[in-house]
Amino acid sequence: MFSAITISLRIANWLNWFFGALLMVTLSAIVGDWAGLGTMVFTHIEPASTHNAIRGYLFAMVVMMPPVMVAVHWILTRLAALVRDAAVGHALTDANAARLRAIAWATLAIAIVDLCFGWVSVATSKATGEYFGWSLSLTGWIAVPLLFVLAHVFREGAAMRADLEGTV
Amino acid sequence: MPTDEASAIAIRLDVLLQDRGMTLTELAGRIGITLANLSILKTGKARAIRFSTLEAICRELQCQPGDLLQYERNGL
Repeated sequence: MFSAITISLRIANWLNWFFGALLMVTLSAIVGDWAGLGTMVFTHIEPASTHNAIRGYLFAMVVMMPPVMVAVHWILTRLAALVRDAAVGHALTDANAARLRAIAWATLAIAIVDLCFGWVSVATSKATGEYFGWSLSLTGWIAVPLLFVLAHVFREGAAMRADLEGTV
Repeated sequence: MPTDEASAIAIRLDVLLQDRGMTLTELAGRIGITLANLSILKTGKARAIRFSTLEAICRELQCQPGDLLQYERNGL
């Protein structure tokens, strides 16, 4: 079971980079009008007065994607390492506590970027009169303190494990 | 929180074994503890000792817990 989870996480990370890069290139091509792609897309969008706002929205997406991709990479790689350690019965270690803290920081980064994206979406919706879908997700904000607490629990558990291993 | 500082509690297992002419391997066999664990205790690397272990050692070496454990101020 653990090996299946580890493989799934690796595949998910690969997909994160692949589709993230694909989306970035596509959006960059539209915003930068590479090979007339931007012109082709924007000719179907009316009225023309909204084009700049939509370009700004797409540009913001391009800018926000790399930090999210890096954060997701951090989460998935550290989660894979955690699962690997859990599989051999060594989950309660200081290294895993540090991994959970890293996951917490990465989750916080994603939540902050999501807020920024929300602000851009609301601003673009106002400017264009079209609804650019976004809603506040509390899951990330709840997960962050939970992960920090869990990291602390792991650190305490590692200390207890060390004590237990040193007991004769 | 545990520290890596040297403990002020010294284990006098080697002295007791020498006095009774017993080897560490023999004692390990008698009290049902692995030689590796008993060696950890003997070299002072153990973080804690179970009452059951202490009882078994005292039984086999015919001694009191105070004969086995000694507090050394400043680790001296």
